[in-house]
Amino acid sequence: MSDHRVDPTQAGAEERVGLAISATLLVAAVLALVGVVVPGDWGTGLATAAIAIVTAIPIVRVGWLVKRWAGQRDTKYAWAAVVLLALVAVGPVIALLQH
Amino acid sequence: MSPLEIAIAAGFTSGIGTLGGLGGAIMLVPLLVLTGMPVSEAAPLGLISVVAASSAAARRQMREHTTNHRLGVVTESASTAGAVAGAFAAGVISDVALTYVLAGVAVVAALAGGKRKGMRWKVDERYGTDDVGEWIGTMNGAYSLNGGVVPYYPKRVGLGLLAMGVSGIVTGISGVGGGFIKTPAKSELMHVPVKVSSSTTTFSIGITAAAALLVKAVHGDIDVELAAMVVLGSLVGGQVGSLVQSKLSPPTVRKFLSVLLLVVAVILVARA
Repeated sequence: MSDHRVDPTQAGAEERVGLAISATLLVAAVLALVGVVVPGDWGTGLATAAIAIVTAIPIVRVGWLVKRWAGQRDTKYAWAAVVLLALVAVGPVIALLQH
Repeated sequence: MSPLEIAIAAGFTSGIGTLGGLGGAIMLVPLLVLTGMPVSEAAPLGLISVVAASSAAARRQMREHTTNHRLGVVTESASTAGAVAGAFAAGVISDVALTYVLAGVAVVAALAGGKRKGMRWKVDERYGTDDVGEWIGTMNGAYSLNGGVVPYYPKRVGLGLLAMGVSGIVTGISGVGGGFIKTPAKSELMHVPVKVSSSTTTFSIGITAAAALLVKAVHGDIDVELAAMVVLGSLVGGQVGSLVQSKLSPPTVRKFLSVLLLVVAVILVARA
């Protein structure tokens, strides 16, 4: 059908990103597991690192979308992703300023 | 609950939440509160369960092209803008009244999805594997089903975005996650296939939950040991939920979602 455009590299790119997410989550899982087993500050530090990694993944994923869509010259959606990142930054920024 | 029991609960609720596209927090948080944990401790654990399960489901859902990132980004922007507005409007409506309204919305969404038969978007022979995925410059796309290709074209986008904005306002006012509004709104209002609706919501709620989690982290509201256990449970739950979802037919996923929405309505009323 010719009523649309599909990026022929999309499947490969998404497979690579999916693999990267899985590998990162595996690292986070190991850190979380070791973190709950190891007592004291070391354990807390490892568990904190696991949580930080897991929290960062969705934000980094949107950053990747901005780069990818900008590369496809799909500027409307690249800007939409930038707007989303800006909106989700509002809460943490206000919390940091109030802290 | 012991940390191990919390991990198991997180795994179970994340699995169900990922399968239905609602996120597991709406079940995990009430469960933790029922067992004696204060809401202030349970809420961050709910958020981390949503973030972890969202990423755990990502690889399979991206491989099967059921996540439409463009749809997710646009709808979540409306929802997040609504949440910011809702946070400023907190206190305008009584929590109890709002919760009953939300329960009513969940029941209506359950009935709308439950009574519908068959599939709106079917395998179309004119489309091939080259057409599968998101289509550049639009929120349309196609996904693979039973060896064929199912194209879809979201309808009533304005109405859908309005629903997402309302779900965000509700989240901002009440703190209740909006996944149970977002997935049925995409599916029933915007006519997006239920698997795409569910996967896309699983992706998008991970973004806002991560942002909310950062706020909790700044305030020092996260119990690190319990959060690590929730990460472990939810990573497994998210994987299993996405696996089961990929094996089920769209009508079965929709019926499961309807049952889940009725459960959510009961949880909301009990919470009120």
